[in-house]
Amino acid sequence: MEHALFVYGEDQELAARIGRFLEEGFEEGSATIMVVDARKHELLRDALGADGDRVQFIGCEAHYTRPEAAIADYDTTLRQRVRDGAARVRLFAELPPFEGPHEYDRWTAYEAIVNRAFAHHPVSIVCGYDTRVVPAAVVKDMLGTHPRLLAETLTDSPGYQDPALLARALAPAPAPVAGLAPVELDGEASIVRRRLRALMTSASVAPADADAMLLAVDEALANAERHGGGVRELRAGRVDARFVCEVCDRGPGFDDALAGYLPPTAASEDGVGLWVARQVTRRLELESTGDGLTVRLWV
Amino acid sequence: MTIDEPDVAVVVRPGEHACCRFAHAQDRLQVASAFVRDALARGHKVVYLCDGEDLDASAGALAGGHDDVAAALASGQFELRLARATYAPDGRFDIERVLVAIREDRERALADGYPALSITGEMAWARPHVPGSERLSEYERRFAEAMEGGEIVALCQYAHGEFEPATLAEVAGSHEVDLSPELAPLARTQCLIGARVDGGRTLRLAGELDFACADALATVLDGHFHDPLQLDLADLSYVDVAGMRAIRRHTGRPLTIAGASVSVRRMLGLLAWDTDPEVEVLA
Repeated sequence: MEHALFVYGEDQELAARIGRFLEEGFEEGSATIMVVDARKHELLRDALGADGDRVQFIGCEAHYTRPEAAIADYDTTLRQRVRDGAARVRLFAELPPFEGPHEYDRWTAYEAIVNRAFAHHPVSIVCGYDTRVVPAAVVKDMLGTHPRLLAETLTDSPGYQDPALLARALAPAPAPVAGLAPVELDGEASIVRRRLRALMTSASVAPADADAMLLAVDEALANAERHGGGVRELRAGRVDARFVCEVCDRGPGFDDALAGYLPPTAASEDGVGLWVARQVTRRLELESTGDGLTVRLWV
Repeated sequence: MTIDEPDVAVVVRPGEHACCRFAHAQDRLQVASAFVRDALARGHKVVYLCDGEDLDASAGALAGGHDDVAAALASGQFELRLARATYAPDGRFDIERVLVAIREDRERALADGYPALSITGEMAWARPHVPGSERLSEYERRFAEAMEGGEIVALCQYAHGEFEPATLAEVAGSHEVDLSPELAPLARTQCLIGARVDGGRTLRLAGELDFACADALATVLDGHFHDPLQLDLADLSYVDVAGMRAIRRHTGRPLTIAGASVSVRRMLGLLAWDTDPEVEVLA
């Protein structure tokens, strides 16, 4: 994988440089994808002339809803293109504008995680940052999340930082949640799921959210059995408009800001359960305390 | 049914002719009890043909403390009869007579307003000394005649080890669904059940395949199934990552999945199996 940052301030710059990046893709027989808004799609398509329609277009507003979903969608798209015969994929992408520094922190962490999430894919990703739209501080942060810089040529980014360290620095510290009640853990896992489903039904959790929560809790319970010295407690309850479950184990816990963010490959052994749990829930928090690891799940 | 007990997992679909060849009586009882309770929940007329003389004891064992079974006995929806009285009333097994009797049972069930007849029989009566029992395989083959019309579901219970292996193999081949002896460990997990279908080539799973029963499945697959592994997951109501991994413990081996539900398909995507050339998902 190659992951490069392209900073620009004019349409013409974008059309010329990214036009060239994609044209080189046609020449080398790569699949090409652009994830931009409708206006820039039109701009780039015009710049490419007759070849413009060879580039798969994905609307960036619909694609970048949450980092977990964007990673999974890219992973699926890349796998499909490779399965369908592409030796390499060239991808140009831009985040849509976001509100506030917290949102940008999430997406800065996302850009860091990309370096690890797609490391096994034959893909060249160029991320466009338009200085007319993106705050200068965000553009500066992105120097740390992209190992390469695209200008006239590609060069190494001197400010590139370790993705795991950066992701950890950017992740908000999970806060304890009040108002959860213990769920009885006696019996088979299927019986615990039934108890939890009954709780969610009486708390008016939408069926699809309840299904997602059951799967996520199940994965956390499986991890606790496998790696965490067993389950210490399962807590659940409504927190405002959300339903929250906590699975606490008896293990030493761990500190990995990338846990559950990396798509599985055929060789993946561990971490797949957390990946699934992150994918199906709204939010997954990991908290290591002296007593063990707590996985907090939100739907 | 209370919340603190597992769901009834049944691997036999309406309109199918199944056999259960589990060796242990307790394992067969569990399958039969689930079959009965599922059929009752579907509103079927249910007939149980017992080997034992004590029908009340059999009814109690089948009910396992569930009110639904006792209520159905009282209403007539559920009937227990002596197996010998149906199969060999005068000590002689007559195929035509039995097929007629079962067709009549179906007609009566439909006339009484039931949508179908679910019937299950303990086949221990079919000992070599019973005249006509040598035609057991023929009977099972011809049972399909009685099933025409689709309003019958049948589960024949044969104890592995109590019949000649050749007879049992032939009998099993006459059933669309075969709960073959090596699959008993799945049923013992209390949340999963398996049967061979498609002439024994495909493993059909029903129930919930989770981390708690994944190892039991992996052991069964390792010991008794060869590549390419063919699975029918249409009756699986739940699966997690450990469950998916149990059906594919080794990459590099082909796997075919039929009946993938929405949740199985989502799992295939999340595990990146949806683009894996080794995994074929049938429409």
